[in-house]
Amino acid sequence: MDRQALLRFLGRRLVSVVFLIFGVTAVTFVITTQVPGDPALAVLGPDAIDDERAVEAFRQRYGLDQPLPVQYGRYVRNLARGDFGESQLTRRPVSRDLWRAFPATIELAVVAISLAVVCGVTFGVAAAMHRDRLIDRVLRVVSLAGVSMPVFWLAIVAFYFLSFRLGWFPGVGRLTPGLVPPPQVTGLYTVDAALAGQWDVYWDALRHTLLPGLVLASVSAGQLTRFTRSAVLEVVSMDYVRTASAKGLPGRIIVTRHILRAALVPVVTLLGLIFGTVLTGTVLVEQIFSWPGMGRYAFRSAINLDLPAIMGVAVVVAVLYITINFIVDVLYSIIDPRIRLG
Amino acid sequence: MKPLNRRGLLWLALLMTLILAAAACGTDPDEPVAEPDPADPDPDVADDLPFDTLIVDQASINRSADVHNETSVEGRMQFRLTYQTLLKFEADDITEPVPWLAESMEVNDDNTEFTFTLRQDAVFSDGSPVTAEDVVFSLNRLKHLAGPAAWLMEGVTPEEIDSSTVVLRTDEPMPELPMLIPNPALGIANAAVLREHGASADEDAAETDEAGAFFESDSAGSGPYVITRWEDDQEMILERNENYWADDAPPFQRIVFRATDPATQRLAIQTGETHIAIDVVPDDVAGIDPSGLEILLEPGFILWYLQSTASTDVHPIAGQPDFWEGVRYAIDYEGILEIGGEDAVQVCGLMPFQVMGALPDEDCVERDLDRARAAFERAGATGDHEPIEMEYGTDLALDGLSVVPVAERLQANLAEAGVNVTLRPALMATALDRWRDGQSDMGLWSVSMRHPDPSSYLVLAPGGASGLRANWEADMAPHIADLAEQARTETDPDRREELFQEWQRAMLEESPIFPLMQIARAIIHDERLTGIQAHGLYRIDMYAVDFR
Repeated sequence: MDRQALLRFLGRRLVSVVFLIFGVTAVTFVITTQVPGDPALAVLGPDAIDDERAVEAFRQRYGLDQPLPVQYGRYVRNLARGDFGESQLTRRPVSRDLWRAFPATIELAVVAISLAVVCGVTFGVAAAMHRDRLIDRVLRVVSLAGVSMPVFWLAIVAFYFLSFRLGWFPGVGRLTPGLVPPPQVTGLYTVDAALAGQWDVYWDALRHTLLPGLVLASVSAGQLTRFTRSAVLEVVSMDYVRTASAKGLPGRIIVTRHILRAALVPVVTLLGLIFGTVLTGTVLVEQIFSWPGMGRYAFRSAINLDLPAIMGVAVVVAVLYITINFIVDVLYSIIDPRIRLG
Repeated sequence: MKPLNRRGLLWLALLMTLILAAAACGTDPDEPVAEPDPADPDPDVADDLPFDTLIVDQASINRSADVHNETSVEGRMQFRLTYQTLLKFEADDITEPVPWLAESMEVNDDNTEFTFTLRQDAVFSDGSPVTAEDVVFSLNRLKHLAGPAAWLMEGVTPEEIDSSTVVLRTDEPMPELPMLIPNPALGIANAAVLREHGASADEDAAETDEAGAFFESDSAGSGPYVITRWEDDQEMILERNENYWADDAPPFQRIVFRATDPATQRLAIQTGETHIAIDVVPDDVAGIDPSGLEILLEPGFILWYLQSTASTDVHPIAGQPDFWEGVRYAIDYEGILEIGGEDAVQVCGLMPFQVMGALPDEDCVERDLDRARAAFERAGATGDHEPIEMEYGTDLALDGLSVVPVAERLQANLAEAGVNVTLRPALMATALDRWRDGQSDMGLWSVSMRHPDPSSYLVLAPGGASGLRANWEADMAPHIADLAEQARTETDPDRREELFQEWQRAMLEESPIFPLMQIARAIIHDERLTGIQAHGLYRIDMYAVDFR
């Protein structure tokens, strides 16, 4: 790939990130502040709400006694300096909360997306190569089920059968209770445990990611299976594939070198969307599995009208989306050299 | 550009699959894993103990690890294992506080001076003695942080007399103060340690105190445990305090409090992953396999009530006493109890039956549809009128029960008596906002026990905090407000009880507040444990927990 083209592309993306973040903060701020409700009441609770001094101290501390434009201006100014403000609920810097929650979600998302890609692409190819046969029908039903099942329901059912009944997976949380987390370097327990050489913690952490990861992967794997199947079927009927077949190339070579390569281009496009699906799913899955990630943090912040936390989550998710889409675009050009970054 | 290396990609995929498969295989029970398994005996535990790490699941844990900045019900159970108070309640008695860090308490005749003499043998986790300076610092810090628990010290000024004597002076007579003292938010912390970490007890502590981070992985109390880890909305880990001064410590080396969804708790308690599950929904209890478990199901301490506005400006019909009478007799109290579960009970007065002064069953209001219809007729509630809205929080679940079906049942009850009420669900943060501003026509709310004394429920009186939410001013029912004040300041216990009962009976006749029920709450625990029972203030008194 042309390095200069990549740098130009990166530069344009970075500029657009600034505008996007500004837009995201503005929209989130307007929506959140328009929700009727008083954060002081939500956080301090009904017992303390008659304590005028407590309410006043709360409003002063978080600038809620200022007009909305002033509050927003102050937020943007602090954000430009990398300061996300202080969570009204936890009374800690939002950046610190995010630094704890974000890796937890990323760890889960990586497992979920990996499982979804491996299963989705494999099943999709298998279904297409055995079109209208039993395996195709079974996989179509399974993928449809994956797409259709509500993720919170699936989470409860999966936990009940696979963890509670069969004991194949451990319980909730990121680690078995009582096990001390590894020293934080990346915040990904598996990586941090490996770096610290704590292999018992590593295996425990990895085991805890599997079931919520599988649940999160189910919807995306279903989408990917269906998408891959369609893409492969489209490619299979092309002349160059028939030619390769006529030349007597083995089926494995035809699939991996000729079909999958071409079929992967639209599939990669879907990865960006899958990332979105996984992030949305974490709100519910993290709740069921007591997973202290962004989804759980966002949910709790939202119902308590914790504005700095909500804004922090929105900004991080926006940046994440932009980054993922950037990676998808670059992958695009790697998989198909005819595509140029422009 | 070089084409993609297919082989590399395949190897990567294979490697990832192998890692995942290996991890899945790691679930093999024979696989040696170093972490303590709560279901199995711990190799490090003394031979006569089944396990040394106790795991307790709740729907949520304390929002802050700072004892002076937290007053949630969830936090009380944990904090009192680390920070002790001058007085405490025993596990089975919430009617009378007993000495704890204080060995005695003296009260002056007009209940404005409370003198505490500290015991000499109590020490903090670093071995230093608990002194009057620590007490004054802790109580002032609670007061001046202006956090959610600051109201506990409203109108109270602590003063050090000597190193082992503290006086709490109140602005006005406060006979209920001894009932407030056992609240774990009034826990006594080591002043020197907290100061070292940026804590302040000065009047500007709300702006200057910087000790928040300290509390997340440390503590400075005199209880049998120290906090080693607190993760918001995740877990709090306590380790045994080797310098503990008394001999009433629970037998566990470590206690882990986890925030766990109620549905998950139900499963976790059955697998043995957790030892105590506190928030399993009562309706789900029937489906639990009881082997190896003990299930306690008894009415909780939260009082559910319906409230109408007392202002005809807010609603011209709902603000009338005739309308209130109609509502009072239109409610099918037994039907409401069906939703609350088998062990739910009707609240006959305005406080849970476990509290001194609660009214007996004979005082319970019974449904009388004819009387309700007649009252509604007088109020003009049966014809065409501005819609009457009933508000409630959709995200509110009290003792595990959602308020939504209760609101729907109440709507149906009122319709049977000829009044159409529109439901207005909202997020709690929104619903509470309108409630605080007195904008609700009607609302379905609850009141928790602030302290285990009948005065805790005087917020419902005319002119009280909750009464004012209904726009029910003291001068709208002066005789009831007067009864409330008499009951609050009376010092003779028998007369006090009588006055609280008189006050409640008057409220049942005339107020726009309609008590409904206390629902059952479930505590499920490992049968190897004993001493577990619901506590009105602490949820569970963990000091009483032991092996059977």
